[in-house]
Order: sequence, then structure tokens, then C-alpha cells
Amino acid sequence: MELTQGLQARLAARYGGATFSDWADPGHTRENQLALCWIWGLVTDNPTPMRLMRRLAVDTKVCLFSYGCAAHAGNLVAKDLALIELFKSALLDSVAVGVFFTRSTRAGALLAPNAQQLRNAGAKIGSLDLYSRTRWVGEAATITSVLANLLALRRTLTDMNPQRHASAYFPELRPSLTARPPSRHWLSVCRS
Amino acid sequence: MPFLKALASSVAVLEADAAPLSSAVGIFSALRLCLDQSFAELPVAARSSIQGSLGRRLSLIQDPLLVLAFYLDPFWCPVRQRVAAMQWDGTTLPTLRGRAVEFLAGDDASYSLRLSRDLAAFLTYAEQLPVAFAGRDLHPAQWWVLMGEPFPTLRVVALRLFALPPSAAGGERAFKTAKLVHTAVRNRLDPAKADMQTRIMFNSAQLARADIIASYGRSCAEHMLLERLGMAAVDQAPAAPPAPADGTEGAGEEDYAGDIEEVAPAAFDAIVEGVVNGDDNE
Repeated sequence: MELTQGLQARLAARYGGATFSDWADPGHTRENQLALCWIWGLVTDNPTPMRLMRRLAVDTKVCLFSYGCAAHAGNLVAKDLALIELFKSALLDSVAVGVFFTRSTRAGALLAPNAQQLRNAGAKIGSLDLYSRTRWVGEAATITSVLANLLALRRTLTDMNPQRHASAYFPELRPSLTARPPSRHWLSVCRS
Repeated sequence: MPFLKALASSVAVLEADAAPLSSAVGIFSALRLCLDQSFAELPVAARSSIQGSLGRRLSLIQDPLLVLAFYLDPFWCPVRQRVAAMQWDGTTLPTLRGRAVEFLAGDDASYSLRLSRDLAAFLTYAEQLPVAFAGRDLHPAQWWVLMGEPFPTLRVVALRLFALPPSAAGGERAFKTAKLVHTAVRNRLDPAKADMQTRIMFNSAQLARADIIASYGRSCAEHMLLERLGMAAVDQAPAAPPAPADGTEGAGEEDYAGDIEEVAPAAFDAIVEGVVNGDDNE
């Protein structure tokens, strides 16, 4: 209750005496109430304190309704996906690849010219993204960055061990690669 | 991995500045439907687990007015029919839509009646729209400004709802600006002054941008989701206008083609002559 009074007082001080709950005056028709309501919606992220704050704002008629952030919810879905075995193993492999090629100077130096050569040939190869909990849907960013770099990574490893065929590396990621075949131009570059 | 990509691009859509409120329920519903029909590479167990997660997470954010916004957005017309029976947190979307109307109308029976009548008329109208109708790519707020005249009570509600964002990402971007104001060097700023400077910096950047509602177009991610559901927009030839009743069919543009060929060079010569002789008033 004290918190509610504090909130109303702060709003009254900031907006020259008018409070956001004035719209709920029972003397008005409902249509007028809705027209007078300054703030219809309040959106926050979804932890429990924020959900309670949203409920408080609706109860004190600061706003008409409140809802949670959809982007944060999408992010939480990605976190749930990371617990499923299929995505978990892909994420772990991607993180391992990313950590190795970014922390080992030699590995990074060997990868860079291969990636650049493929980039010059028109392949869309970005940098290897390491996993970050705070990035929006960071799981997807990490896995897709490794998939995008897959040919460059294979070329690098084949350079180091020419006796072994390129597809022997990262076999668990192979179905994803075959799902989208590389273009003809790309193939000619890889063969050259 | 295509599902992860779809999810990442969907979240990118939701956190955009001009994303309409309807996208929250629209995208989550479309993703759930896609899991039933598409993404064949996913095992059944993983698929049901993802569906459970989507349902659980949407129930965190769901409010009946979000569902009403979903029903008011013409872009999601094709999806509505298919999600009607889908359960969200034990409740169907039409039930939540009804609750939203009840909540908005409160005890005002007359307003409730007008709102329900407008909603029913709009839903009937929207069902008759072809898959690729003009204005499908408009921001729904703009669509309601242009086309919402037949539904006056609902139009006011729709315009207020579509002014709201589906995510709190915009607020978080404002905090990011605060980090540029309250730096390690300027760490003794009065909080009120830091707040004011943040507002100036953030709002100036927003004002310098083009009108984000006017320049809004539906994202590739949303179109891709509809495409996966087999509801992609296909260009259709506009319907022919009704023929006149007085039997003058065929009196189209071709009848005037000869006249234009004769008149246009003469008019052009007259303009050139006017410019050369200096009697051009323009």
C-alpha cells in the first residue's frame, strides 16, 4: 500500500497534479474512461518482481493492462531448447569449436585466410560468435555462426591433415549442411 | 537448425521499434503451427517439448488484449482459423478475445454491444480478404487509419492497441543510452540530470529517424512463417470492375488510343513553342 501511495505521489509530482488513475472516475462512461486513460499498456520483462510490479500498476489504475515482453519470452524458449539433447550437443560442439578457434592464435590465423578466400568467392561467412547468455537467442547465433563457417573450418583442418577427407570433421553437423546445398560457384571454389 | 534460425529471426522482429502488438501472439502461434506441419528434421519428442516450451513461455506474457490485437491485425487473417482450437494455458484464443471485449466494455452494455458488433463485422470482412490483399504489408495502425472507417468503435481501440510495442527491448535500448551519459568519467552526475540528458539523447536520435510506422513493412521472418504454413502471399490480378449496365462494354482505354496519339504531339509542340517564345507562365 505504501509503495502504491509512493507511486501515485511520484506521478502526481512529475505530471503537475494529474495522476494516471484519474481516468477511472466512475462518473464517466466506459468509452470516455478508455479515451481519458493516458497509458493503456505496460510492458516489462518476466521475472517475478516485474510481474508483481505489473499487477500493482494495473491494480492502482496507473495503466489499463499489462503484459510481458515477447522478445524475452522468445529468448527463454531458446534457453529451453538448449536443454533438449539435440540442441544441447550442437551448442556444446559449437562452443568448443568457437573457443578453440578464437583462443588459439595459431588456429585462428590458419582459419582467417580460408574464411577470407571463401568470402571473396561470395560465401556468406561471418566471424565465429562465442556463446553469450545476454545476447538475444545467443544459442542460435552461436550454432548458426559455426554452421556458416563450416566449410572454412573443414578446409583449415584438411590443410593440417590432407590424408583425411574434409567431411570426416564435424560429422554430427553434416545433416545441417546437406539440408542447404552450396551453390555451383561455391563448389568450384572449394574444388580449386 | 532451421527452427533455431526461425526463432532467432522472430525474436529480432519482436524487438524492433515498430513491431505491432499483434506480432507477439501471431509469431508464437505461427511457430506452434509450423512445428506441426514443418521442420520435419526435428524428432517428435523434441517437437512436442518445444511446443510445451512455447505454450509455457507465452502464458508468462499473455493478456486477453494481446489476443484481441492479434485478431485485429489483417496480416494474421490466414492464421486465425487454424489457431482457433489451439489451447494456450488451458484457454483457446477466441475465449481470450471474448474476455478482452468484456474487459474493455466493463459494465457499459451499450458500448459492449457496439464493440462486439464491430468486431463481428470486422472478422467477417477480414475472412473475405484474399491472401494477398492491398495493404497487407502496412503497419496495422496505418491499415486501421486508412480502412477502419466502417468499424468506428473498434477503430479507436485498434489504434490505441497498435501504438503499443510487443517487447520491452525499446526500454532496454534507452538504458543503453544512459550508459553513454553516466560514464566512468562523469560518475558524479546528479541522477535527475543524468535522466534528463538520457532522454534528450535518446529522443533526439528517435526524432532524427524517418517515420517508422509509415516506412514499416512486414519482415521476411513473418512472411517465411506464413510460407511454411502454406499461406504465403501470391500476387493476384486485381478483380475486374463491374461492367456498366447500359451495354457500353468495350468502351475502354483502347478507344481513346488514337485520340491520344494525335493530341499528345500537338500539345507537346505547343508547350515547346511556348517555352521558346517565353510565354510559359510556370
